[in-house]
Order: sequence, then structure tokens, then C-alpha cells
Amino acid sequence: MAEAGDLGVAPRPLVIGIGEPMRGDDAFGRRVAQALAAMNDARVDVVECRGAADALLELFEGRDRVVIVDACRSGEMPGTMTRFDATTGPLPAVLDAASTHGFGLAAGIELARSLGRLPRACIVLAVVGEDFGVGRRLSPRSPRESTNWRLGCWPSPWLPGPKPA
Amino acid sequence: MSRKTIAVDLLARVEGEGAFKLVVRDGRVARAELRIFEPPRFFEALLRGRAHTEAPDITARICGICPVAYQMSAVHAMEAAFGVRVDGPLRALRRLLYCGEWIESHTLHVTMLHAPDFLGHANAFEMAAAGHGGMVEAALALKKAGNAIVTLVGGREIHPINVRVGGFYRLPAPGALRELGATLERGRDHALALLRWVSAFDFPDLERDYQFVALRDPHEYPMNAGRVVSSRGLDIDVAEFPTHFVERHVAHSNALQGYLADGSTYLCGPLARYSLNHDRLDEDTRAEARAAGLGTTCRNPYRSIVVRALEVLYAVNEAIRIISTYEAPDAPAIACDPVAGVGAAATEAPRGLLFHRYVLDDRGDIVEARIVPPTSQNQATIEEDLVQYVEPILDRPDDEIRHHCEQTIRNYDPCISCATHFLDLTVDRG
Repeated sequence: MAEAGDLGVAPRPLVIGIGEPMRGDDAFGRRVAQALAAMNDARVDVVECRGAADALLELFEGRDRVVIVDACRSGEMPGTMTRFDATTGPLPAVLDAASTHGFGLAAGIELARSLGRLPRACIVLAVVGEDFGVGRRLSPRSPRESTNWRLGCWPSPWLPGPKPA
Repeated sequence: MSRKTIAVDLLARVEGEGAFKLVVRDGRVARAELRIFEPPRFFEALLRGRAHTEAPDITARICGICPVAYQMSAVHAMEAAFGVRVDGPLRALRRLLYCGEWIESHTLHVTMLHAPDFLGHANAFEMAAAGHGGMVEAALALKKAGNAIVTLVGGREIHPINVRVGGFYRLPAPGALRELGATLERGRDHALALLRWVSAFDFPDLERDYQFVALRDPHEYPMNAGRVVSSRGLDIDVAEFPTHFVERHVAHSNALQGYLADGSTYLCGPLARYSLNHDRLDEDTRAEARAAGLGTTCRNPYRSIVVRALEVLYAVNEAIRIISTYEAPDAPAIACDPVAGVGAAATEAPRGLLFHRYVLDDRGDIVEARIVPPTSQNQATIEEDLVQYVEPILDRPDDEIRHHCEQTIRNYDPCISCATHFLDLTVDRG
């Protein structure tokens, strides 16, 4: 599994799993990336990332199709997944909360847009988490236990999706 | 009676969670409170009973922006307790690592967080879209160069893992260092462009007679070493810090506030470091400071953005110098045999002086720890600034006052995560 900064430029679609591995459901994006990487599918690149805006801009370099998976907090049921097309407008504020100096995913998307560096296709899958406690595991109601992300919400025909459980 | 409260409930473009409240009575600011509500994280208690070898990695977790500063203060304090002095190429590598952190931290704050205030934009991407995209691209490249230093010398970009008491776990490969030198040569042009860009901003003509506190070294601009000096004549060994400086708890903040023992406030960070160490900069950097409109001291907090950009240029040049003169040592670390004792050290984090003190038992385990981060030390001074700078504009709309307060607070690049080991603004007009 590559970490942000390890990948060279390639024309394949890139899946970026965002999260902090030691903060409960915040690790969800990383878990998705790990599951995809385990499939060894040569048609897609997969990378894990903490979600700092400048790191995201680096990952966008040379890519025209990117899918970002991240956990978020909202009033919805834990496990709920929402799909955003980042090319059509800014992300909601809930997707920029857990980052250093508030300079995370949403800022990275907007910075890329303002610099003309946003990939032609850029999908964000935001999954509502429940427990973001330090040192916690994914919570029982976390999307890990849900089949939503496997079956219902895969973003695009150009991205090979995980197999149903 | 005129009474009013202006509040910002969550400060933006700062590290951590905090707020600000202004209480106005009869047209005057009765009280300014920088409210740090991010919970205390009890790192000092967490360190008790842990091995001295664990302190660099545990304390690095206090901050994702300045972990190197925590690691450096920790290892120097331990080495002071053991009577060990790390010198030569290992010392140079530590300074190189610190240069990387200054470049990363200052560039992020100058370009992405603070510059939009001066150019009338809400954020960096609005600023980039309004014709400053080239400068934002240059800053991203510069920050990437800083990241590369920390990755190579520290082992990884965030929360480095290669620092140990006595030196490092592994030395960087000579070829990788040469490659890094070439990256930094390209970064020098970006750093110069950044300095010239920010020096052309419009700055409020406001100065305060700050009591500056910073490290001062006999030979170099301070990072890892020096005596603690002030602009009012203090000149002490770092070990004497607890005798001359105190911390107080205030009801409105989860972070302790730093004062001198006589109760006076003080300022640490780039303005203090520059004003107390201008003569320690090389002639080329001093010339660039003059060209950027800086004198030998700087007491205008809004110009701190210029001083930070100057320190980025200095750090890039210093990193290039260190790499070009580096000769690998025989071993990545020198032996440190634990003995019971007390060790103290202070280093210059991007935001200012970071003090660590440890009491160790004869196995080198930590009996007592004390950590004093720069944002804690600057809190009281930030509150004083707000009173002085906001009072003349109290007749303006609350939104304008709120923005002015946030910009004033961002002058200090406060790191609330560190201070709680920050901004909502509330203005109470009664």
C-alpha cells in the first residue's frame, strides 16, 4: 500500500483513502483503500493519505480521474454514505473539520480548483462515522460492517469496484 | 451605559480549537479573553514513569505542525541531564531538520492562512483565484521542499521517527542529501519571491513596546541552542527558566498563561527571535531584510508575516549550507548512559521558545516533566494586543471588529493544540 507521496504519475484512476489510523471511524477511508489494494487490480492505483491540502494537490498531479473516500460527522445515521461530485462545486464544511489549521480535504479541493489542478473527474465519498476517539477501533456501526459502500454507492463505471461480500 | 459583547465562537485558520470574547463597557474594552477550550491533554502526566528514550516520540505527538521542536527540546533536555553534548555533524543534522520544520510551518501560515487577511480574501483559494495563483504554487513547492527535509532526516513527513537521545537512529544517505540540496537551490527563488510578495502588503502603523524573549547563541541564529535573553536585559542559562518564568491558570482558558516572575507579559516567536538576533543573520539575509522594509528590530505584530518569510529564506539558505558542508559521522548517535538528575532545554519552535524540563531517576525513567509551549507564553500578550488594537475601532460594525480581531490573533500563528497540551469571537457590549 502506497502512502501519499510514494506514487509516480500514471494515467490510471486513483483512489485516495483519507483518515487518521488511530482515531476510530476516521480510519474508514484508509480501510477502504486497504481493501482495494488487497485486490491487486492493475487498472487502479490506491493510496492512503492524512488529508492535508498540499498532499492532496500532489496526489492530483497527472491524474484525470480521482475518487476520495473519507469519514465525516453529520446528523445522519452512522454508516450513511453520500457521493459528491467535486467538479461541480465546493464540498460541505463537515468534510474539512479534522485537519491541521483547517487546511484539509475541502480546502485542498478548492485550492486545486482555483489553480486549475482539479482532476477532470473527482468524486468524494463521505461516510458518516460514529466514534472518532483517540486510540479507538472502527465502531460496531461503522461502514466496515455495512455493505452500503460495497453495493450501492460505488461511484463510477470507470472504476473497478470491490466485490460484494 | 454602553455595554456590548462581541464573540467569535470558533477561530478559523489557526491550529486547534479556541474562541475570543471582547467585553466593552462605556466605549472601552473592559476585558479581552482568548478562550482556549480545546481540552487539556495531560502530556506532562503521561510522561511520568516512561523511559527517557520515549520522550522525543511521545512529545512529538503534541503537535502535527511542530513535532521537530518537541523532539529537539526533549533530546537536548535529556542530554543535559546525562552530561552529554551532541556536536559536529549530528548537531548539524538536527539543525537541518529544524530548518525543514521552519520552512513547512512558516510557509503554510504565511501563504495559506495569513496572507488572505492582507489582500482582502476569505481564504487561500479565493486569493489564488484572484491573481495570486503563481505565489500559491511557489509556496506549495517551498513547503514540499521543507517536507522533503523532514522526511529525509526525520524518517517521515509528520511526527518524525528518526530522532533519538544522542542523535538519530539512521543517517541520511549522502546521495539523498545531495538531491535534497538541489531541491533547496530551486526553493531559494521561491523563498525570495515569497518575501518580496509579503513585504509589499499594506500594514497598520501599530507598534507595541513588547518585552521580547528568545534564545541567543554566540554564533548563529537560534534554533537548537542558546541562552534565554530578553529585550529588557534578562540573560540566563536555560536551566534557570523556571526561576524567572511562571505559568498561571485563568478561568477562561484550558491553557496556562506565561508571565515573567515579576508578573509582566512577554512575547516570544519570530518578532522576538529576529529583534534579539538580527546580528546573527548572515549579511545576505540582513540585506534582504532591509530590502523588505525591516529594521534591526520589529515591533509591529502585523509585520510578523514579513519576518516569517525572512526566516523561511534564512532556513532555506542554512539548509543548503549545512548540506554542502556535511560530512557523515562515524555513528548515527553517541552513547548516553542514564543517570539520576534534572535536565532542561529550550529550542526555537516556529512560534517561539519551547521549554522542556525533566527529573529522571537512576534508570533514566521520567519522574517529573514540564513543558512550556510558545502559544501559552504569548496568550496574555495576544489579549493585550486585542485591547490596544480594537479599542480605537469600537464604533465600527461587529463583523469588521471580528475580522480585525481574528487577523490580530493570526499575527501570532497560535497553535492551540500545543497550548493545551483556538477561534470563536464574542464581543460583549452589555
